[in-house]
Amino acid sequence: MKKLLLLIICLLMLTGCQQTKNKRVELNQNAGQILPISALAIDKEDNLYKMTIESIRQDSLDGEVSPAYFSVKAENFSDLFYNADMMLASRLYLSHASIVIISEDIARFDIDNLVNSLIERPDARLTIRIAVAENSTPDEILQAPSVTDGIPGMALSSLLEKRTKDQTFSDFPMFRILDYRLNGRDIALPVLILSDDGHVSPKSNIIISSDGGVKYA
Amino acid sequence: MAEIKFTTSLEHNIQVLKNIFKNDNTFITRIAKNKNGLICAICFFDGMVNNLAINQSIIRPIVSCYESKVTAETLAETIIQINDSVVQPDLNKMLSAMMYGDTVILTEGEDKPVVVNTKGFSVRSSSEPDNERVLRGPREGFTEAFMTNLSMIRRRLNDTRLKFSFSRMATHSQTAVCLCYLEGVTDEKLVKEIKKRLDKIDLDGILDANYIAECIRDEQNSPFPTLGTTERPDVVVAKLLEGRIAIITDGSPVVLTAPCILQECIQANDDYYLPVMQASLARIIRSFGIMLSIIIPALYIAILYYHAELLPTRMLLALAAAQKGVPLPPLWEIFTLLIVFEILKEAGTRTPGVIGSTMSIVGGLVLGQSAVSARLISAPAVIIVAIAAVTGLAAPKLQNAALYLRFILLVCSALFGLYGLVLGLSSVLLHLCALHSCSIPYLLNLLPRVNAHTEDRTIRISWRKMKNKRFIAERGKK
Repeated sequence: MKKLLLLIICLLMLTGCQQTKNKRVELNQNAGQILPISALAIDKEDNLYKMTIESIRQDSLDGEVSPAYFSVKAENFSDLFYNADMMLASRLYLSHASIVIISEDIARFDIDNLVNSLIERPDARLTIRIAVAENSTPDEILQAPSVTDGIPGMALSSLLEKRTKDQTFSDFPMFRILDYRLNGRDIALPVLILSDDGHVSPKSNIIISSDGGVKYA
Repeated sequence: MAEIKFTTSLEHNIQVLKNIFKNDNTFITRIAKNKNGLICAICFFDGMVNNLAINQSIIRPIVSCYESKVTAETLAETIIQINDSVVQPDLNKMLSAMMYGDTVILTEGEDKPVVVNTKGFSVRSSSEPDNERVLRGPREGFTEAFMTNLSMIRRRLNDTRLKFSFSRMATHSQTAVCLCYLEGVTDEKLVKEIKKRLDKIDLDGILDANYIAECIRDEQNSPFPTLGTTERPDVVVAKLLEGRIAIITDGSPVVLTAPCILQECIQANDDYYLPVMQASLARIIRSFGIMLSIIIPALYIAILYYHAELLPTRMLLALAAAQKGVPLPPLWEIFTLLIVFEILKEAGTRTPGVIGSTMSIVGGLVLGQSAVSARLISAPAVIIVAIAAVTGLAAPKLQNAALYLRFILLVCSALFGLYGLVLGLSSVLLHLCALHSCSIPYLLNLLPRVNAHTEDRTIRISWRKMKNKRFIAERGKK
């Protein structure tokens, strides 16, 4: 019995620490229900950060998957997520978020803070792609009607993935950005533009140096 | 057994027997006399004997012989015309034999009875066991008749080393139990160990092999079977050839085999009657099926409750949509459905054929469909429980273990997510590592440390390539 107890304790240690923030979820209970997020669009307005959140919902098994949008404002990124959480009865769930669209300003001067804020969340994945919006605001890009092949955020992420696979664009998911920035190296983020007909497409890469300098490639 | 004593007076001896069996109307005493004054009493139980044999091979020779007085030995050796007739000085054994269908012959001037084998009670004819059907191979199954069962084994194993060791057990039923093994193949220590365990049995009656199994099996509290059971003579013979022991119980078609290891629980009876490739694939599918049956409800709950990030987005959305409007949380849904399934299974087993299938349709299909339509339960929960139920049938010998483990792992997952599931599975593995059946490791052939140098493991190997066919015996010799 003693041996068994000892082994169970050892096994518990081996499995690592359970994330305290990873709370139990009941999918049919509003209080614990999770709200899957597919994409984020972050911009800066009047010295405040504005985050547009694209959540995805499906009301019944035979129903369509549809996106829903809401925006929050805050002075920093951590507060953005906190405010978004406070707005919802359910839990903001970033595990399925695949893309974050940011403005050029944020890309140049606040990318480190943004990455750090995302890393702080236990549910955010390190594979989230970050793209830069050009000629439109990030939320306009995210909500562009012509992209809506199901969920816009997911469609944009798939598009970028496809384009990085054929090496048209550099592949810079969040973990690589983090790695490059820690080593003081330049990062290359894809640039998304909104055409007159409302179509979103990747245009080029924006190369951001550690001091905030940019060049397009 | 009552203390009795015979004298040389036939009348006294008859009276002794009548006293013992007073108020028993099946006890019959027939007096047979010949012309020269020889008087014999033929005692038997109605319904237990072959009347033709008594009439033609006992009464007729006595009536037609010319002796006026005979000894018990002469009676047994020269007059009675039945192959199995002996003088039995032990009166308790005589009574046992008589109650089991033998006929006792008492004669004037002799205090020793002659016991003649005239067993003739009706028995069920052999048929294929319902719960051990095979696609290909012998269709014969054991019956409730003890000697018939032994003959089925003997017929398949023409070896002088095949031993049947009889004993009678239980105070009142005096059930015949036979220990069957291949001398020189089965480890002697194993034979001694089983005999020792059988000797310790102290019961009033033994009506089925499970009475014995419960008394002699290792690890009574383990959900895993540590004694093999089969109703097929070919399986018993195969196990005897591997160095196992078989225990045959009178009145039961179930034969116990020992030791029993996990590997044989995953094997099917026709594994060795089917082509190698087909049998190997079936064995792999069976192993996968039973694992799936145990794990899938727990895995579903763990992922849904704690690790939703593991699910693809579309699947998460579909599951969330299915859960909308359902009053019960997923854990209670699965729990309730598993219990309902067990109830349906239990009821289906006890109900006669046609009603049983109707009930399965009503219970499984109609009830399940209606409950999903009424949003009392979600469709994914029904699917998960259905998968667990169906895959659990892949290895019938592990159904009991699967039932317990399914619930235990479900609770572990609900409490700690995937960590709980891994912890639960690790505990099961620890239990299996510690488990032995008659001193043979339960994981024999499945783990490297308990390898018994046999080639026949998870993958079935062809007979041509198999060098060591007696791995249990070889293991015992180590």
